[in-house]
Amino acid sequence: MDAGNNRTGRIDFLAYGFIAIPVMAIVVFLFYPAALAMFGTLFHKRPDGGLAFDASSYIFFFTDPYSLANLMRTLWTTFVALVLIVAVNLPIALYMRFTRGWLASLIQGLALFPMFVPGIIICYALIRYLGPNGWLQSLLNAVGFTHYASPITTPWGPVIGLIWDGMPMTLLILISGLGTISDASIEAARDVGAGRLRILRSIILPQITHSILIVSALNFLGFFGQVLMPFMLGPTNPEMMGPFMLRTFVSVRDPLQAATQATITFLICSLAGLAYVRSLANRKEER
Amino acid sequence: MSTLDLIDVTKNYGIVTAIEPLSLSIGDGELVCLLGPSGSGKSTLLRIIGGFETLTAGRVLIDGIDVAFAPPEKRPTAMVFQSHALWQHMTVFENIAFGLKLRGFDKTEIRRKVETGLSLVGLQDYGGRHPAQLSGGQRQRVAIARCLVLEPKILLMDEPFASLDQHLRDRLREEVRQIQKTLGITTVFVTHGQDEAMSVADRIVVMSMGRIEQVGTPGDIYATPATPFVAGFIGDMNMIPVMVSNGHATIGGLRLAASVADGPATLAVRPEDLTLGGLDAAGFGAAQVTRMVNYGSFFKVTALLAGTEWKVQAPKTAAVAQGQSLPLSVGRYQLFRDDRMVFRSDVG
Repeated sequence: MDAGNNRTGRIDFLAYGFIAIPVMAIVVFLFYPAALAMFGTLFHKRPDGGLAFDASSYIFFFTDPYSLANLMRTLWTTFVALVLIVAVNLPIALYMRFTRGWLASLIQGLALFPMFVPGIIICYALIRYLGPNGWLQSLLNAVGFTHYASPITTPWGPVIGLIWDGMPMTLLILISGLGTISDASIEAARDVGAGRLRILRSIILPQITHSILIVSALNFLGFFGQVLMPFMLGPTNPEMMGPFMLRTFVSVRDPLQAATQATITFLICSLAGLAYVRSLANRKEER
Repeated sequence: MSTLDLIDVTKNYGIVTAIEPLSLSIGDGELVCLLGPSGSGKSTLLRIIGGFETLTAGRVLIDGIDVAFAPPEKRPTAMVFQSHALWQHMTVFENIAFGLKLRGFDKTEIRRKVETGLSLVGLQDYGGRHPAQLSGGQRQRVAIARCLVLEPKILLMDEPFASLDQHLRDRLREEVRQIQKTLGITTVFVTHGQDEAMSVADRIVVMSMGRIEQVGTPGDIYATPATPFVAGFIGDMNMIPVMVSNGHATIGGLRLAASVADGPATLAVRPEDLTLGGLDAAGFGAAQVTRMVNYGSFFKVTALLAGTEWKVQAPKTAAVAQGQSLPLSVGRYQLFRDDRMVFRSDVG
């Protein structure tokens, strides 16, 4: 083996050494217990000590109206929050990409602000502001509007909280995606006769589909498994999968059913994860 | 017939003046180069014509119609950008067809026009490719075709070949000139390369610090620069401080006729208008050859006279050697004073 190969060999060994510890930690503390839990939902111990295939917990989940209602509520909240978070952040990202000045900086600061606020504080702030007898209701009462119905106790409560919580990451990814579109390509579109909406539809959006896909996938993962926001905001029946799992495990003390709920959540989130990984792979290929 | 008239066009950014009030008329089918160093205002002026910059004052007339405050999409202009600005998610065909679709052409007409545009730039078989699959020169050709299919009244080109290598630049430059002549399209071409301007332009507008220094044909600009800036910017030029008295400019034994008022002036002489070793040259000075560089067909000689370095272009056959002291004589020359030309030897 010549010196070059020796050198390469050493570098490879060093690289494997570097990644070994985190990979081991992930395998030992995450993959192994997760696999064990998932395995445990399908294979139960028989009285004689052997293992038997048993899908009864899944059958229960998919035949139990309450569990299904919780799953539907989780899907509804996730998709609504996903659509709204892109709809809210895209115009802000566009404004920040194509405008310079103090107002753009101020908006950027405000939009990234939630990143530095713990989720629990955001929940309390939303309850105090939007909740029943909160500041907004008091303000509206003061101007004579007495028909305010707080969204905090409705399914929209978690949606508002999730949008607030996911806003900084969404904005950063969208701005980064928009940053790859050159000013000249926008000017070229204007030059051939495209108006603003046409530029958005035909030039900008097709070039940030990767960013939108990444934002959607990451937020899907974050929203679907959320515990804090749906626990603090929104109705308790039906509830989202996060608090449902927590309650099944801690209050109902049914670890098998909690693990089944977690496995179903994991499988649904895997689809979003798959979309994210595919998007990254496609991007690499294009480059 | 498409003409472009700029009347008192001015551009300020706050208190900074990017373009001082300037006027310029460009005739039908003419190719005019805006030439100047970085920061001279040439690109800003082009962007004002294209509608990408709002002018502070003045008028931009295309065929007599003022478009000064019309947005780019409403102007009969098309611009080729330095970075080609192709849309990466579209194929070559879609890039070229985009503007035609916006203009409401039907599919058959779009296909015909795109194919004509592609064949004009020699890319007939590239319609299905994406920009990432093309070379730099091919991308710029697509950008040119994208503009040409729209049949603009004025074609604007913002340093279109700046990112290409010299060989490709030379080739594309000739191709563009040929296409421009064939179509007879009025064109404004921005460049900071004097060679590029000299080789493609019908007229050159030399700009500096937001002002027009001189407008003229390449030959005029080279032969009779109107200001010291133009003299120094276009081609090689010796700019030598001299003293004029009694109708003659003198420096280190050189004595040149100069029918201007007495006082200091700047002598401007091209290297090819200087001769080393001419025995019967009138008014020569003795110059010491300090450096010689072989350029193949000629020597570029640096000679020292009166403490000043003179660049001389000597033919291959000249009997010149480094270290020699030889008489230096001047052929054509100009004198500048107060930033303007005051004397031309060939006019008197």
